[in-house]
This record gives sequence, C-alpha cells and structure tokens, in this order.
Amino acid sequence: MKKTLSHVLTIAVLSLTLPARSVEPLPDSVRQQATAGFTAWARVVSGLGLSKTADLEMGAVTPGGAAGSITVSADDTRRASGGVSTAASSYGAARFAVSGAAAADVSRLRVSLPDRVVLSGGSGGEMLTAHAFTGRLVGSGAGVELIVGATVDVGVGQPAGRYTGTFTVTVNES
Amino acid sequence: MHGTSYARLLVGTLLLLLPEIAAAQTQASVVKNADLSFGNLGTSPSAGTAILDPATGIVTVTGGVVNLGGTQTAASFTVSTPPAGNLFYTIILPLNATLTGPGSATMLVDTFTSNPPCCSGKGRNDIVTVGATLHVSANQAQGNYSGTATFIVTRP
Repeated sequence: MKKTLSHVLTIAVLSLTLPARSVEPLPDSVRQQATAGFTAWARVVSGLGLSKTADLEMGAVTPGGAAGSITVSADDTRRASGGVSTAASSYGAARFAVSGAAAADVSRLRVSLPDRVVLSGGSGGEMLTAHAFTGRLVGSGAGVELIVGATVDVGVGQPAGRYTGTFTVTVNES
Repeated sequence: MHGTSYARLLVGTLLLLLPEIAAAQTQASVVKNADLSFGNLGTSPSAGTAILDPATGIVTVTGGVVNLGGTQTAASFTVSTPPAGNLFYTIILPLNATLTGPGSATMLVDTFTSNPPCCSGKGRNDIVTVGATLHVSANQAQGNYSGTATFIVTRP
C-alpha cells in the first residue's frame, strides 16, 4: 500500500510542473537578445542673416596744412582731427540688419570687422586708408542691428574727389 | 518511507527548474542612460550633415549646416553581461531612423556608430555610446525633430 502511495505522489508532482516547462522553451535567437529603445533629437533654427541697409558715409572734408583724419563713430557722430576740418554734408555710420532666430540672444553674437580698407578715387589713382573700425549691436530679437563706423586718414594736399572702398563684416553666434 | 517520498518530490522539482536558471544566466541586459541629441543646427540654402562622434559627443558639420551648440550628446547604454559566462556580446545598431518635425518635415539619420565599436565587453557593466549622421536638407524647416530607434545586444 505504501509503495502505491509513493507512485501517486510522483505523478502528482509531474502534473503540476508540466505547464511551467511548456512556457520555457523559446528560440535561442529571441532569448539571448536584449534591446533598448532610444530617441534621436535635433532642433533646426535658421542661420544668421546679415543685410546692409546703409553704407558708411564719411561726408565731405577739407584738407589743411597738416595731415589729419575724419572719424564717423558707431553712434553716428562725426569728428575731424589734425589739419582736417569737416565740411557741411550728410554722413552716417553703416547699418546692417541681423536676422534669424539665433539672433535673439545678442550677447552671443560675435562681430568681425576689417582691419584696414583702401579707398580709391580722387582725380584718378589716389588712395585713402580707412581703419579703426568700430561696431555696435543694438536692438533684440527680430530687430537686431549692427552699426559700423571707421576713421579715414587724409593727407596734406589730398586731391579733391569722391573716394570709395568696399568692406566686409561677419557676424557669428558663439 | 514518507522521507523517501518528500526527497523524490524535491529532486523532481529541482530538475525541472534548472533549465530556467541556466537560461537566465546567459542573458545580457541593456538599460538606456541617455538619448541621442544633435543640439541646435542652423540651416542655409545648402544641404549638409551633422555627425555626432560617439566617443567624444562632439558634433561636426558639413555643407551648409551651422553648428549652433545646445545639448549635444551621444546615446548611452549600460550593457550588463551575466555574472557567469564570457563577456562576449554583439552590438546591432539601427540602419537608419527618420526624425519628424513641424508639419510633414522629416530628416534622415543613418551611419550609426558605437563606442566601443563591437563585441567583447570589458566588464560586466559596460557603457556603450552611440552616435550617427543627420542629413539636413537645404532650407530645412525650423523646429524640433525627433524619432525613435532600437539598440540591440545579442549573445552567442
């Protein structure tokens, strides 16, 4: 009777564990692969735009018995020095509109100005040198403006005429 | 004789559970620590790419794309190998992923790379970082873009 009882117990155990075994066998390729999802992000903003709205106009000057210079500052003031004197005329600093969503933070904008620019003109072949360029950023958001001034040296007996030159400014966001 | 019966019961149960324990010990697990972020990119009239280096997290740009900084990070995962067995595993990176942005605008991410590039782990809990190449079209629409991908580790 006792032997019969022991057989009954074994059968009972098997019947309990078989359902567990039927769940276990998964293909090896599935069982030994671990995955993790992730997200890739990017934010696209417009690059900076820069467009000229006004040229740098030094105005008219009269050379004197000594060399001198004429300066138009980034705050639109004009000043002559040395033997040069100002003559009545219109003048003004150069202006550039800075556009782009990135221009919203003016403190992150870095301006590069030319070191020296040669102006040519007069009655033919004469030259002047512009230097000491200064820049000022004003406004915020969509209305950022870059204002640029400079100094032009004028020699003794500088030939009369209109002198012009071209310069480039660069704005980067740091 | 009751003792014999309990012993048989115990042995039978242990034998049936062993395959389960053995299977669990060969598995690797992966936990994501960080998403992949290219940060802020400026567009221009020229197309270009932004390439994120998984080793340094640094973004380099080509063509008309401007790197404007922001949060730039490689995706990061911790790969854990079981306490017993070898350290070997294989990294399977996504072929590509599509990021969707404002309206119907999309960008393609491909050339996924990882650091370390492949296979045998250095320890039981390795940090694996993932970078990729983002393709930005000319005058790509402004806005935030995101898309999902899957990082896979297999063990032989």
